[in-house]
Amino acid sequence: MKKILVLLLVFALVVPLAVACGNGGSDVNEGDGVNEDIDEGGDNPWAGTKITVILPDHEMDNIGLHRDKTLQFTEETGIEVELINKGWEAAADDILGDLVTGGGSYDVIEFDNAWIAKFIANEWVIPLDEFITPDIKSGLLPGLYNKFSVGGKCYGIAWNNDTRFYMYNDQMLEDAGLSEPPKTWDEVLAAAKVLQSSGVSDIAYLDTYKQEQMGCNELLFVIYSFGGELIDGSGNPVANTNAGVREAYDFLAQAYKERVFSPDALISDYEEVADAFFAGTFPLFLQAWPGVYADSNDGSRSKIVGQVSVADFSVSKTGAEQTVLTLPEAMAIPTTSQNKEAAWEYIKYMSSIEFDKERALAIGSLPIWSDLYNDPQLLALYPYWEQFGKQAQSAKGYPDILWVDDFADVVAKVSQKILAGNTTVAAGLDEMQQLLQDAKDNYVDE
Amino acid sequence: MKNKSYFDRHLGQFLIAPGTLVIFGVMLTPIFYAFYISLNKLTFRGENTLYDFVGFGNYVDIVAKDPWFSKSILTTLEFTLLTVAAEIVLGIGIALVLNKEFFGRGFVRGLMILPWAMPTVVNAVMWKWILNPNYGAANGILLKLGLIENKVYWLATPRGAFLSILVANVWKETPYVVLLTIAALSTIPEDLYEAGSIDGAGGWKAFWKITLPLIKQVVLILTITKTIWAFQTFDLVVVMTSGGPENSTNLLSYYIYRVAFKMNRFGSAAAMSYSLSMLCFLLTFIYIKVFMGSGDEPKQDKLAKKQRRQLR
Repeated sequence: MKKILVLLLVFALVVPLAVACGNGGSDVNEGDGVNEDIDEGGDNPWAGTKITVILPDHEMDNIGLHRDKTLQFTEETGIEVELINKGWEAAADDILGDLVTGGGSYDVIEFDNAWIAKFIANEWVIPLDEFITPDIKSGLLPGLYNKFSVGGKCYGIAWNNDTRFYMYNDQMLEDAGLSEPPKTWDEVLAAAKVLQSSGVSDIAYLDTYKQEQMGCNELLFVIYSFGGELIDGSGNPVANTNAGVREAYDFLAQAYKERVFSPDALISDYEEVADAFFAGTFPLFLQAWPGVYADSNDGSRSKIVGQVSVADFSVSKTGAEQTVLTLPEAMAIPTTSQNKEAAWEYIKYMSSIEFDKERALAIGSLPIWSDLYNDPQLLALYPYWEQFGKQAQSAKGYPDILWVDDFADVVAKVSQKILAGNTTVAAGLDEMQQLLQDAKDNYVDE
Repeated sequence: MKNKSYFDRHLGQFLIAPGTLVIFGVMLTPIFYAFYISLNKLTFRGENTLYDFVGFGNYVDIVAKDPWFSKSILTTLEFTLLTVAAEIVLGIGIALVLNKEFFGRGFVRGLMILPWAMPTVVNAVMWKWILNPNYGAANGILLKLGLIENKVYWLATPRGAFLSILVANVWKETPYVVLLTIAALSTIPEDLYEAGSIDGAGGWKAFWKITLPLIKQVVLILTITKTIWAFQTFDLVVVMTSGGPENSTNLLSYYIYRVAFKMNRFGSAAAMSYSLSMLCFLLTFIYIKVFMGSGDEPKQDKLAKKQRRQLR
């Protein structure tokens, strides 16, 4: 009896191992099957090839356009695609987790504008120059193409021209007796008082100053709009010496104190900000992504249909400076991909001018191809792109530094302290400077 | 005896082999590997991970150089102590009530378990909605009752956010305490209370002298498990606050996650994980000492143990 028991135990141990090995083997067999398919198919070199793509959800794609287009890509090319779409933070965790543990899980990855220096220094992505045709190079928006190019090599092709614009609720401003949207930060302060006293809204705006990278995004916009920089041209922190930074934080601290923006900014994310705007809670959406306009006119989601306009300008210190935030996202091929050619086919397809136009028509996304900004069909559909063009005279994103994650972390955390008045602006900026300097000095990937 | 076969002699080892393999594979190996990582600084180049041995340098750095770690430890300790205390006190109180006979007791007991059965992420999302200043139920109800005049930004202040995740956690976790305490209470013979009442023990005295000593073991287990779970609190922070505002909810589990997966400082994150484990161990040790202190074992038992040891 005991022998039988022991034999059963051994069996229980060996069988799962054998099955596991068998599964591994079956993958190989499937691979063999792929070769057979190719042999049988003959004329399709991609038949049976499978790639894995991980990209964050496109904030404007509420209709599953990217997924549908990916299916169409598979039908047309025969390249099977496992498309993984997640929220940005979750996708970033998966991508970074994979890359730091040796990679190999993905063939096409999200390549965020903030990651450029870090990914290239760590040799995590390959240059795409051998694949990029002259048409692509000359046709894409120069700013986007250059953003993902370092040392004369291009490492990513943009798929999301995520640039932010100033939009406002006409109706709410009119109800408060404001004839036009504020152009300078001082006017924002004044407008808040009018909105509060008229009972139209208890805040002028809500944004995300959350303790995450998205919070840092929006803080950077305010700093840029005051002509400030946290990092100088040599990559050194200048938080407590840059005049624009000081002015920006003086404004933010005052605005928090006077409830110009909602205290909930310290905890809200982009979605919550948009939802509050669509609910008619506040009139000024300082850095709205292009899809906000279309969504605000979608009655199933918004209570402010027909009330939103796009400004000719972005809010700034004097009204003369025009800066908007640009946070483009690209597709890149990891060094560890085993299917680089197939991966490029996917990138090429998903960044083609044809799909770019289709996407713009369907969801109102900003094109990545220069020619589409003169496309009569698109201009007729989106007349406010003219205002976008005026605002985007100077679009700025993250500084190109290797320690960008620490940078965003420090900025978001210390800023909350300053905003809430738990430290003075001067002391807070001194602390920020020290922490940024430490982060820079201590950065060794670890 | 001499004829015992190989299988007979090693039957025990064979029986525990599968479990041992699993423990080594999924528990001990990662634990040792994480410790090894905590002694290194990791650099990533292409497919390669380079290990730079720094001894206990990461442990020193997280204390001496990391500006957020110490604050995170204090926040986590405060959260743990408050949440465990609240859950145990509330849980025992509710269990005592539910242990009494009353109409619909079974239904109420069933209802009690609902929060615990709810996934933590769902609980966090639900509380975030409840506490939303614009459309949340908390402000809505309080405004209608006239208890507040203006909407409250529950999650936007450091203390408000901390208390909010505390309440959300207590709401979800207390039913587990109730469940186990009811089970423990059901084992106490009614005779003891009758005897106690003859001796003049009222409700409060009976609780301290009869109930509590007899459910002490269960309370100890609850306190230990609740402490460990409180230290692991992660989902609530991710969904409700992202560690803010001003780091007020930057619990250690969440902070370790950020250091590892956002900053990619795996050596530091592993060192923090080990520090967290040591903290858990320390608290558990203290609990056991407090609950099972010297007065716990009857003197004759201790004497008997001592005699047995001497005989050996």
